[in-house]
Amino acid sequence: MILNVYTIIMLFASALTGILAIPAWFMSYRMYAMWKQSLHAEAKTDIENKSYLLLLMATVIVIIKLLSWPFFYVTLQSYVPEIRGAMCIFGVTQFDPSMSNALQLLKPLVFFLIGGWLLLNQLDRRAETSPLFRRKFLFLHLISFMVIADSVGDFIYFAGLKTEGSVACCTTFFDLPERATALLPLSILGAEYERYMLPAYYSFNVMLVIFMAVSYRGVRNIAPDKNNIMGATLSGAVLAALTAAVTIFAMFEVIAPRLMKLPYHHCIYCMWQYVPDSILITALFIIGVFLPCWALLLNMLGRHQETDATLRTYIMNIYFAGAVSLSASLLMVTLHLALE
Amino acid sequence: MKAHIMNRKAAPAAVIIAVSAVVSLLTIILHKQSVSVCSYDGEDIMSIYEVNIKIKNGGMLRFCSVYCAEAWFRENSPEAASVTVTDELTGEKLDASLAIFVESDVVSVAATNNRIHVFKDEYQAREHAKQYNGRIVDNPFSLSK
Repeated sequence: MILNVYTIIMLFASALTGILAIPAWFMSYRMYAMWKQSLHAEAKTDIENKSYLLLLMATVIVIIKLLSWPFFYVTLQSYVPEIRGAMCIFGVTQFDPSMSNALQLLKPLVFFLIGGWLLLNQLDRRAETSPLFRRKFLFLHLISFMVIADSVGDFIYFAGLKTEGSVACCTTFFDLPERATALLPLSILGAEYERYMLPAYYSFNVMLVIFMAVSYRGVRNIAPDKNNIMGATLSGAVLAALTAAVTIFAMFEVIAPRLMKLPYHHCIYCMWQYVPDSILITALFIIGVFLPCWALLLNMLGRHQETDATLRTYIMNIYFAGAVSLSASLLMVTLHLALE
Repeated sequence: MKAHIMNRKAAPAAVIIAVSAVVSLLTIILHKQSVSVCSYDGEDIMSIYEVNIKIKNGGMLRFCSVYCAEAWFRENSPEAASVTVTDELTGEKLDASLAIFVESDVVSVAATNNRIHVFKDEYQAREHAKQYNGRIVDNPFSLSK
């Protein structure tokens, strides 16, 4: 194990969230099973009173877990000088690639689900009779399980990392002609695929910003008895997923090399350390594409007669925040490309 | 009322966008490429393994290893005017056409997994090859191609 202050904080956060998530997992299912619409008011109040501690605990868990995703990378970055051959986070991940890849997939999923749950919980609290009570506790039950898995994964990964031996870093992986981020665009767009990557990046990102800006104004006016909101949020989420895919390829192939001024180096991890504001660019982009997906999730789980008006306001605000976040990310990339 | 709500949202949005722009501008201003990093992947350069490629417009590119220099050279050989490598034993810089290249089990720059070593002296090159399961390979920076 590489023991430094980051490892200690990471392990402490994992232990805390993992331990708290176990009772949350059991209790959330119990709350879900106990709550029925047919219950009389006193029984409902009694269950609601019992749920406060669980909700408080859940809020602590999810907020720590939200922060643990970026902190995971901060911790890996702190190991770079300790590992022979590592010049960026990618080198560190090569000590246990299967575990680090699993965690790198699990963490954004946990982050996404947690964001969705926080919004759902907030929506339910705004309503008078907690119409989403069962759904939010069933959702919390799922999240608690994911949090336990993530925390156990963190423990196994960070406790098992060794500094012996050396690793080959990103140059031998991301800069090979047969890298995955080059092969796919090459097969679709042909040999001159790099020429089309930036226009594709801008087209999708601008389309998503426009979609969110238009939807921000449009959601309020959609008739409540129609499925138009579902259609709008579904379109937004699909567009966000496409934008994310195009942007990931563009980042590796065109944007990262240009931001780093290393035209043949296609490593995002290196970009984060050589061009520090690219961390903010990435964070704003992630929030910008997650928000339309959260809008869809909230619309799927938060629909109820009692929450209809609040849900619309939430979706509008989500789109507004998404448009701002994605615009800021685009502006930062554009400044770099134009001025460097 | 509606305009008030819009203003209430527009102000933080404008702040977020303005702060992002300022952060980027500051990074661009402060971001000066360090002179001692590899022109291919940004890795720190150890002078004993350094490869320099002089390009035809007069500029000089510095690389951390033969691996990175070769990767650049494969794509851009017409731009190269001359290639200088470093003798691993003495640190002496010499033209690549005069050097002996040995591929062996020893990794010189771990980040790139570089196994190609540069020697000025042929005897030393053969000794290294014998000792570390290596073989002498062609100069990867042939300007005549």
